[in-house]
Amino acid sequence: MTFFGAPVYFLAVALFALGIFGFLTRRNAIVVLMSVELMLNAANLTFLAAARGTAHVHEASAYAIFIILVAAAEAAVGLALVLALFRIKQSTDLDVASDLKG
Amino acid sequence: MSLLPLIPLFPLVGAAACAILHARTLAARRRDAGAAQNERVVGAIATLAIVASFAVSVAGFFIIQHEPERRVAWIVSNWIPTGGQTIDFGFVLDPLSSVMCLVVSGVGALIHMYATGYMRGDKGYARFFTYLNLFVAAMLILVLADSLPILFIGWEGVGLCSYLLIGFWHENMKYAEAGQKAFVVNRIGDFGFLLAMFGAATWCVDAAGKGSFQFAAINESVLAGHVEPWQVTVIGLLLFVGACGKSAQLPLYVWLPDAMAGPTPVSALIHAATMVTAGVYLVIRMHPIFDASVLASSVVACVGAATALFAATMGLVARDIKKVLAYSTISQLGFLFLGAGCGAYDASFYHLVTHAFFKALLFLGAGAVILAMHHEQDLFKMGGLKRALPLEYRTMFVGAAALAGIPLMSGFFSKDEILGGVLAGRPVFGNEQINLVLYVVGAATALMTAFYTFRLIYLAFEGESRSNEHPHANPASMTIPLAALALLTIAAAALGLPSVFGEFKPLEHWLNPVLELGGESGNAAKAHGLSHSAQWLLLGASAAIAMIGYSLARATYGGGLAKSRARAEAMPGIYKTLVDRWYVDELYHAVFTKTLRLAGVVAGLFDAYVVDGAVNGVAASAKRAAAAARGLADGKLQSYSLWFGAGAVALVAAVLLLI
Amino acid sequence: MNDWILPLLVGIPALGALAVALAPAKRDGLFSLALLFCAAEAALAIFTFTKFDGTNPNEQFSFSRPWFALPTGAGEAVPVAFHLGIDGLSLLLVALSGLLAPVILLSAKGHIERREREFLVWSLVMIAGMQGVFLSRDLLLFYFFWEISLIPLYFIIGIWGGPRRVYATVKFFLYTLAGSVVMLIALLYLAYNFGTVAIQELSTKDIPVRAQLGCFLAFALAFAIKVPMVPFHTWLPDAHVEAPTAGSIVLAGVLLKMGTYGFLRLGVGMFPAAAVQCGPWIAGIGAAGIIYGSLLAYGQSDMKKLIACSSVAHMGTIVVGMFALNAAGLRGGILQMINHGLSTGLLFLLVGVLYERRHVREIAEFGGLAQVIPAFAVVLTVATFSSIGLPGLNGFPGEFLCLKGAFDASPLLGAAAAVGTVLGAVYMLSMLRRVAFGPITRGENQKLIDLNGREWASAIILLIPMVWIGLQPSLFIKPTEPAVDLLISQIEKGRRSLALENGASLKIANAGAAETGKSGGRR
Repeated sequence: MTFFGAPVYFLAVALFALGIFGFLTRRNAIVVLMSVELMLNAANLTFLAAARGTAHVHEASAYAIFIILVAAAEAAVGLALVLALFRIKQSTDLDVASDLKG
Repeated sequence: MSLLPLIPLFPLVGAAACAILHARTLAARRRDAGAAQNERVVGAIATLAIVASFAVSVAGFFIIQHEPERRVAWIVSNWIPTGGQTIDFGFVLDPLSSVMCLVVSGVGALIHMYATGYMRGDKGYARFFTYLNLFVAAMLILVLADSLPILFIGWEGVGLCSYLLIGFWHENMKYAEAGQKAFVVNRIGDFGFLLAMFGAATWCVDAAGKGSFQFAAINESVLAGHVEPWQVTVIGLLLFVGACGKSAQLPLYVWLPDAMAGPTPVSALIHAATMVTAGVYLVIRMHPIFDASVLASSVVACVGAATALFAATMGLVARDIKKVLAYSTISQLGFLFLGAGCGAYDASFYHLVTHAFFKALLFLGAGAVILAMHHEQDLFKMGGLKRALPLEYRTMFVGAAALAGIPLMSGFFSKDEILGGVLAGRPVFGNEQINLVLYVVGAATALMTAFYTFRLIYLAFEGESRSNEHPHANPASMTIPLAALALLTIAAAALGLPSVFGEFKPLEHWLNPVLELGGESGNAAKAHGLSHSAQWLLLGASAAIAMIGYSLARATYGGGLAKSRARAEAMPGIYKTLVDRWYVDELYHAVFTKTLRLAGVVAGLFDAYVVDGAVNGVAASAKRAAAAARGLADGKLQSYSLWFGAGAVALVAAVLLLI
Repeated sequence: MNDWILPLLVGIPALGALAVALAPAKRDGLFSLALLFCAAEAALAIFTFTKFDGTNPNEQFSFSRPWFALPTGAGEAVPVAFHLGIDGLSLLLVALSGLLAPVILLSAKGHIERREREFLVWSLVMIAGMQGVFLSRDLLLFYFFWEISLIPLYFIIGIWGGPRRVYATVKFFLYTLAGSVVMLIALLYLAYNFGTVAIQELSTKDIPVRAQLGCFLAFALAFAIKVPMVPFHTWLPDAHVEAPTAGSIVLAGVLLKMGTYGFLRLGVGMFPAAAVQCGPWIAGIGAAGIIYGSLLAYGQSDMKKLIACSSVAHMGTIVVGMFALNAAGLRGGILQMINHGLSTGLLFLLVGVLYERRHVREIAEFGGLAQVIPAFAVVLTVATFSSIGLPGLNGFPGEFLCLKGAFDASPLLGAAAAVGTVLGAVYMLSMLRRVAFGPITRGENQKLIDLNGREWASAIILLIPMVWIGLQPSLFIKPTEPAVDLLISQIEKGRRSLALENGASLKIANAGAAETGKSGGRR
């Protein structure tokens, strides 16, 4: 079965593309975080879909669970950062947080 | 002989002692404003140092008479190892340097004694004698040197002392400027001297192809013809550039009139009797070079004649008593070069010696007058001093008579020898007609010399006083040297009487070992060549010229200033030009000083805007590039990520494509 | 025992820096501690000078330990050694750096009012770095010390400097760094192509003329900036004007000589053919620098800037002498490096004395100082005349030899360089006159205090060698002779390989070989 043979991959690519699009274009920090989640889940979906019916299915499951964990941690840290940002700037708009501008 | 280094060593030690005493005076003055310095001790140390070196010089004079070649040498080898021709620190006492030593230390001792009186009460008394002793030491090193670099040590040393002494009263900016002018103009001459020195060491090789800095070796090489003629000419001309600076010849004479800013004993010792003759001494010392090059020696003769005449014209109208003497010094130095250029080295040296005596005498007399008149130097404000200062008058009259060339005075004979040497000497530029022209120039100069010399005497001593000051008498320490120098001036005539009075020529016989290097090539030019009748004719002409000059001065200034004023008004153009010294100083100022200053400013601007501008331009362009790149860092996380992703893709693509 | 002298020369100031950094003492105590180390350094430098065997052309007191190895992609790694050695080329400079060490500290005592500890540490590090440059016999070690010596001055000017110190220090740092980077590239090229970074070994290798030329130019750029040669000189006046007195003394006294020393040791020593080829050009630029620097100096109104510009001219004289590529010029160049360090060091010291009292450096602010502070005026006069090469003082033998070398190489070059003697007198005497002579024009100057004990001490440390070199130059020239002769045989080798390269007939090369063979036999 070729890589692009299964429709589930189209779903994963679409999710990932949505995630990138959201990550690069949205200005609200929370939406950006959500876009990151989308990308991570696209990766999860690919892992599992690719492993289905092979000897590696358990490993893939382990990776997926690991990624979900990381995503949870990332969400926690990310939201904390957004909170901190909100405290300083009174906004979650990323365009406001441009103190590194050269 | 280990006696030689003692000659300059005594004054050197004297200078050190005076310096220490000066430092102590300064320290005492800082503690207590009223502390007086011990002038007596300082004066005694300084004078005795010179007397001691005079004594050694006399001893040396007798010692070399018993030497086979009439020379003794003292050498510390390898003073500066150059890797090629080594520079040894060597002195040589031969007839020429011996006479110079005697003159320098003898006249020097008298002037030191005079200065102990002249400088009395000056707050820099010890400092003055430090410099003066140092000067004598440097001058003695100059005359004793056996090689060009060692001579250069003395040469620069006297330049330094001249600088320090002209600007001795440094509170006056004009004086300090005059000192600087002297040093810088001398440096222009030194530029030529340095190159001549290098050229001589490189080109003047012996048979084995080895060069040397020593006079003896250089002269030998030139005599043996190991040097290309053009190289000899170049060396000769460059040496003469150096001599022009030191001996105040055209076009480098401008520093000497200004040098009169120094105390009068300095003018007498440095700017009349000794230092300024160093250029002539150099030419005589290295005469084989000038014998071998017609061009170089002819340039020497012509520049000398031109300077003699030119300076004399300015002496005609100068009002400052010291300036008159300064112009006459330049003029007489021109005479010396005129003689040397025509090959009459003995006559030139004879005049050098007599000039040292009578010019020192005149300056010291002028100093006595100035001091007696409470530092008045303007001749127009003097007059009638004959009664108040009889000894000064008599001695100065002797000096003036010698300078003017009044018959039977030493200056008469020595000047006549030079003029005879010009007529009978080697053809200038190979053309005997030019010798005749130079003789006429010399005779005209002699006429002017006689005129302005007696003008000085009449204005200062005769007639009615034009001043409200009451002259006071001078101390014995000042009058004794005057009397001694007057006697020397008279006696010096015996050193080189013309051959019509018999072959009694002690100076010439004494100098023969040095001057007749390489046979009679140059020296054949001596007045020997003139028949006795021609010599009598010349003597008569000289005497007539001197007497005409004297009578003119008497006619013009015998009755006060009225007649001279009328004459000046009759020819305002010439008079003004002469008073303003032919505008040469103004010309030099405009051409050289201003150009140099402008060049400094232009270089500064060029440096700031072009050279440094380029450097800062590089920095600025880096800054601009950075500013352009700065737009990429807009502080937005998302654009960073975009560039990051794009970069990663590009990198992967590059790796995939390349491998 | 003797092989520890050189590590100690580098080590004493380095240890001193460490000690000062850690010592619990306060201001004066710290200063005394640093001075102690500097005095030890000076004493050791003089000891080295007296112990040195002046007849031996090769390096002495060698100290060599393996340090690390430069890995190469293929073939063996290039060994790098911590190799110190001293020979006639570096002897005088090592002595000078040691002698200046206490002067630097003494001159700083009155100026540095804050962060003394850091200042002392940086000064000591700088001395260690300079000694390292002059002692290194390994290219990479040389480069290491070369860069090390840059950093302390960056801080000294940057922290304790004048109002435009940041501009000056960045300019100085970036400018010299740009030069050294190019040098580093050439250095790595040599290491990877010839398998060694030992200077001695590289000197004996037959490097192809083309490669020599490339490397020489790369090194020359670094050195020309350091010297500095026109037109790379503009960082110098800025750095001098902003630097505190101690910084100026060390900059003029020793740091610039790293450039001229580098030219000799690396430029001429390792790439003789390239040096022969480029020599006339570099000497010509040097002569132009003499005249240009003199004119610049004449146009200045700030004393420090004037002396800085005069340094450009004087360093030009040294370059002219060295690139005359003959015995007189090389000896003169080496001696003149010392002379310039002494006289210019003293001049900067004296400017510092005035600055400490009046906090101005404009010439016009002074005048008539000889009446108020005679001792100062005397020392200033001596320094001035030393700087313009008066016989009897140190400037004369050095300048004389440089000019003689130049004249022997080409009379025109000698004449151009000798113009500097006239111009030098003009601007130096103008400064002396306007500062020391004339009437006292400003009331503030009436109350100036003459040199104090500390200032006298540092002046005398400089005055003694000035007079000594002036009176007995052979004592200082003789030890350099064998090394210079060795360098000349190297230059001869360069001439020959250049002749071969140029396709000159074999005859010329043979004649050259026979000639060196002869001279070699004589030696």
